Amino acid sequence: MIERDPIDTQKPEWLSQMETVLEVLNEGVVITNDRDRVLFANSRFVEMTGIPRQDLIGFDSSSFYSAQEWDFMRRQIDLSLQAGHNRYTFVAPRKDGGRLPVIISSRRLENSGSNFGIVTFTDISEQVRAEEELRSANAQLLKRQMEIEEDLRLAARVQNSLAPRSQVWDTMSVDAFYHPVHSIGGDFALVNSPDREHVSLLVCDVSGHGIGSALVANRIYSETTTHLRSGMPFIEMFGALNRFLIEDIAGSGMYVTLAAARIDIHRRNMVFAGAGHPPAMLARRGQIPLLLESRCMILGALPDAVDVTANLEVQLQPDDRIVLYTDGITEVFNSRGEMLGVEGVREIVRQASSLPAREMKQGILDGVAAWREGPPTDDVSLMLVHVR
Amino acid sequence: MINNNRKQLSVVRRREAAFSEGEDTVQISARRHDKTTIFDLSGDIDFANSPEVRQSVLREIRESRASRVVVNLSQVRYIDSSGVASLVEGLKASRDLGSRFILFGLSTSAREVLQLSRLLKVFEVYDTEEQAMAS
Repeated sequence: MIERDPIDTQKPEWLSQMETVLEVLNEGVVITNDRDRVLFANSRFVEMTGIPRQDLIGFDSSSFYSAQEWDFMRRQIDLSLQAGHNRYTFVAPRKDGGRLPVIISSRRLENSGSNFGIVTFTDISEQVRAEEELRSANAQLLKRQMEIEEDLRLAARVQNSLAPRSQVWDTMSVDAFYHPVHSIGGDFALVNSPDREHVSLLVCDVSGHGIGSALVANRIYSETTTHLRSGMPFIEMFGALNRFLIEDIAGSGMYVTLAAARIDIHRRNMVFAGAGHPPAMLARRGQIPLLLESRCMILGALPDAVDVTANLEVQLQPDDRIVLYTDGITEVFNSRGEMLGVEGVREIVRQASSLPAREMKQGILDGVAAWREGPPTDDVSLMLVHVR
Repeated sequence: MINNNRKQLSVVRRREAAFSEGEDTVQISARRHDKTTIFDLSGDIDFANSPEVRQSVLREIRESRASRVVVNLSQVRYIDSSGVASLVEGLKASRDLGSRFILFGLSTSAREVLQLSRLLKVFEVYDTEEQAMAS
């Protein structure tokens, strides 16, 4: 049993006068003498700690803390002595041995030649609990984000596997570029060669970016691959896609634009059709590129999107270059806010058509990048066909 | 005469494109005049804010049930394919309710995007509000 010195329980007169006021405060208040003995603890402090007042008054403050805790407290008390006041976050002891998170404000008072410590304890357990819950929620969110990012990395690998690779035939070569603005996107391009005589090319843009667009793009990829392999005429293919979009994914607010070409390699004949898509270009060295414009509207919006006269037939010549792309090429802005547009791309293609075929794709991309202020903000697909 | 029944549907929204910095905003407000609802849009309409445009326009069309819906694009610099999709949704919702859906004040780039989509002929398009209201 720890003995108390009667002198450590004697309240100075000023304290007796203040007691009534200290009792009504919402914060715990403890008054100590210059020997760190507790002279007074208000009801709120007793309530916070659960320690009866008779077990507080006259006792050394250090007796309520572990040696390690008191080392910290001692340093804070010394700081308070030097500065006259101090404020810090720590814990208040509880009768059951637990600890209550608190903000401690201490001030040194000199009266009649004696020093007193006036210490207030503000309960911050709710705040600490909220912070812990927030930390826990943040940790869960971070974990979930990492899972999503891993899923997106996997999805991006799957989608990248759909990107066409450069291909070379006796009389023709295809060079392709694909860059989604997010890890996955709504653009895709495909090259399909069902036999040695024909090559089908397709560039598609699903409105928007991200997961929804990528899912629709993958679905359209499957549909179009099947149709192209079967040799289905473009008008029929566009009609089938339009019905699929309206009937199967109605209300998604997603629409599709695409440009498709089927080339007879040996006859050097091309059939082209587009639906709401920026015009493909037929570039011949030294000439202004010919625009191959869409005659159908974007697919998925309206039932009558497909124009029965959609097909364009073009006789190709050696060294012709055919450029198919998505609006990530045309809808780029310079520092003055001017959009490159089809005519701007047409000029870039004209200039790049004087380059050797293997350098033309990069020439177009460089020209677009030179116009654009900042990095790309839309998915970019570009496919270049060179007729040898 | 156009009354002052202007309703702010959506206020400035910050776009945080994956790689771009800066702030692009879209503002949408609606005015009602007799049986016409006029949407005033300003800013770029793109992937970042087109869902908000779509939601606001569709809600207003369904609530107001105006016989004519007019969209003022004179303060819109650029519409991407997502923005075009929102206008198409507005057109379809208006048609479902037997309303006309009219655009006016298209910028050069907005007109080009609609032209390339082959949708210019689907919308009723006018140069000015006076022409749109007189139609």
